[in-house]
Amino acid sequence: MSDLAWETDVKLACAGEKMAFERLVRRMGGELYRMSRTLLRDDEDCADAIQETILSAYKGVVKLREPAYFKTWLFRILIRECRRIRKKNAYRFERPAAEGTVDMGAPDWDLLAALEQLDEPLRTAVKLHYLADLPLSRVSELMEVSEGTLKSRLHRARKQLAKWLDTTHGRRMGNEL
Amino acid sequence: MSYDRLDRVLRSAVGSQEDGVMPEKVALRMESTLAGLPARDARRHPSRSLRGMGVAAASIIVAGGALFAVSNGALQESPIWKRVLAVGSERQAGPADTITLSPMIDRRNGTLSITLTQVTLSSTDTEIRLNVERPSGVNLPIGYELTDDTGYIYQPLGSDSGFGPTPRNSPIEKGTMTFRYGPSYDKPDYLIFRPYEYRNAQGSDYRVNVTSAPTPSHPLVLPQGEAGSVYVTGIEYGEDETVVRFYVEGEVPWEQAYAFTLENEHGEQINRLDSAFPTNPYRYEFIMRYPPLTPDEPLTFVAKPVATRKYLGDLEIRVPLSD
Repeated sequence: MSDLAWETDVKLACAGEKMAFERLVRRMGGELYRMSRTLLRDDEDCADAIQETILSAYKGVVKLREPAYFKTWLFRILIRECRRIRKKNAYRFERPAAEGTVDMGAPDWDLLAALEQLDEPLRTAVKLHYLADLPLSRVSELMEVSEGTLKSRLHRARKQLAKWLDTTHGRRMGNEL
Repeated sequence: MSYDRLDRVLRSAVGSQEDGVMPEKVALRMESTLAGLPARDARRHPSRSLRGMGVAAASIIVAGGALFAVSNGALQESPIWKRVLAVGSERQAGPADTITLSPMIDRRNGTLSITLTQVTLSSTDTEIRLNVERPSGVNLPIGYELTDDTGYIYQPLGSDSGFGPTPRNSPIEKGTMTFRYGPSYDKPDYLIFRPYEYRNAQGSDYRVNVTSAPTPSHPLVLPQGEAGSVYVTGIEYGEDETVVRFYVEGEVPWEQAYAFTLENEHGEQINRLDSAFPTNPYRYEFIMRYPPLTPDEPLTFVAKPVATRKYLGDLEIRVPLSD
């Protein structure tokens, strides 16, 4: 979809055109999934989050004042839904069952487990910046905070993670969950 | 652990994430959510509302409903839902919801007689079946339009007819005709089947040179005679193709969409790659694909005059859709 087509569809969606809204959501489907998968650890929860985001966005799109921020606005709704689902499900991080062979490229499960232990909004900030690989400017936009505040949150998160991961006890955290 | 090292570890975790491709079950949930979104309520058809409808017609408002799902403008292989209204038949088994039309609806205009036998509505198309009696061996210059209470004119998708052997010297031949149209986009209270006589278009072609890029807020407007106008809202120059976006406003939108062309600087018509594709049928919005062109290439849009229709009121059939 070209920029022009995108802009046209955003304007139509904001004017209440259902089909334009559908096209935009389909266009963003992959990004919505990747974002939700960064914040949630289960595809079923991701589907719930995306579904709720679509319903909420469709209801509110006609009130969107700045069509240019449609994407950011939709991501913010998704992040909110992911947080809500995570809170509702009392998320627990589960390490996948061990395989017979050692995979040198395997993720650091202890680190990922520690990430899940961070309080909000530190956890979302870390995940969006490091796991979703979004630049600071984008994360601060999505989380509606200044870059200074975001940097401060990331600093606190790293401090907390370093503290946990530096202790032997902390390195076993993933196993104990 | 130092912050720098932690930073590197966190960044390396990026590679540990999934490949990011949406799994089928998530994609299906997304699609079913989109399909289930209700149509916006209390909306008349925008194009017709601009064309000076009478007070009575303009006051008709249709409430949206989830029953009539949207197929995104593209024909689907199998319908999501289907509803059949048939004359004198019992409720059919299977996914189709059958309602008996009673009494039978027939119309006559001189020697032409039509009887409505079945209306099928689905998420992919709308089908009208008729029994027809017409003069033998005469090709009547009559077309058939389908519209509804919102004023939306349905996209014609083709027709079939079958006329049995006619006794020699019989002035009348009997047969059946089936007309297919695009789907409903709101839940209409009724459909209107409107036969009309073909008329010749008056006037000459209208040419507009492309001197600046058209946009939705500053479209190129090309009058198409008495029928209305076509509005070019964008030209996208791609490596493989050039896409022209446009919409039409007027009395015969589906004819208007095919009645404009593109010419090069030598006045030669540039052949399009395929037919105009409706991107939003409900608003009569289309794209037309052409071979790759460059933005500095002089182009001219040419609009053909399009005739309005002379409706045959005696043959018009209003099909109630409420049970």
